[in-house]
Amino acid sequence: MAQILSRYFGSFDTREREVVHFPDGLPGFEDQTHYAALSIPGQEPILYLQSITRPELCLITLPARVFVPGYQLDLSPEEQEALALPLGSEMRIGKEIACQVIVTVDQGHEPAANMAAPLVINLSNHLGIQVFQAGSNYSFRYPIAEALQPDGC
Amino acid sequence: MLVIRRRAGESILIGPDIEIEILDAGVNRVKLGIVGPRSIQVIRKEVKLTAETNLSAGLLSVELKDLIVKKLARIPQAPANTSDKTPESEYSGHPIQAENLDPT
Repeated sequence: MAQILSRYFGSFDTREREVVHFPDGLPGFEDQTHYAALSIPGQEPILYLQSITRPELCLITLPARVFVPGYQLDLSPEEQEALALPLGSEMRIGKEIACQVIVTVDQGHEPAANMAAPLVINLSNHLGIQVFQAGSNYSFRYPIAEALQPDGC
Repeated sequence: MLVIRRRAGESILIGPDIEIEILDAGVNRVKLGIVGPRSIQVIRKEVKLTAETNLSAGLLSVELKDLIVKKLARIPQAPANTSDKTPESEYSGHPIQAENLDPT
């Protein structure tokens, strides 16, 4: 299946896109395992992850460090294994792996990012998992506008 | 909130047919054994919270998607103008980045 449908973007050919594979799906979408990675000129660094089998399912993601510059990722040995990252290998955000947070809207229709459970993608094989950052104080609905206001404003 | 202190090997009972045993208590984590009827679902709380957040994020209307994109663009430091401030913007130049999308 090369031609896929997207509620947001119409139809396009997945053969021209990178496809990220989440072997276990995502919580809430356990049966959706493959997502085409799309970026739109002028909207960078937004990365859309469009399910290749469900047109209305598309995640709006951004690099976690766009919102929290010092964002630190903690991966368990099991999570590294799920990404096929050898134990002890380097895992630098932006080099070996990507760390993307999913953006939604809160009840007041303001954008909010899920900093507590980012998507981690192995950039060499495009395997992905969603990891819960236990022990961090990151929020599931981090208000983006607030986070990005300059100091003193 | 009810607080009960327990040691490894000890249990608590919830209702007539749910037992939670402390199998092991380490420095940072405890290992629980849970016995109960199959009809009672047991899941990690963060999985439920993540699922709820994903469900609200993954199926937004086109209007709400456009609203997010607009609000992100209006914020001075994000996202289109952050390239200088995010040295590790992981997708710049990486092959995972999709080519120009031509909406049809």
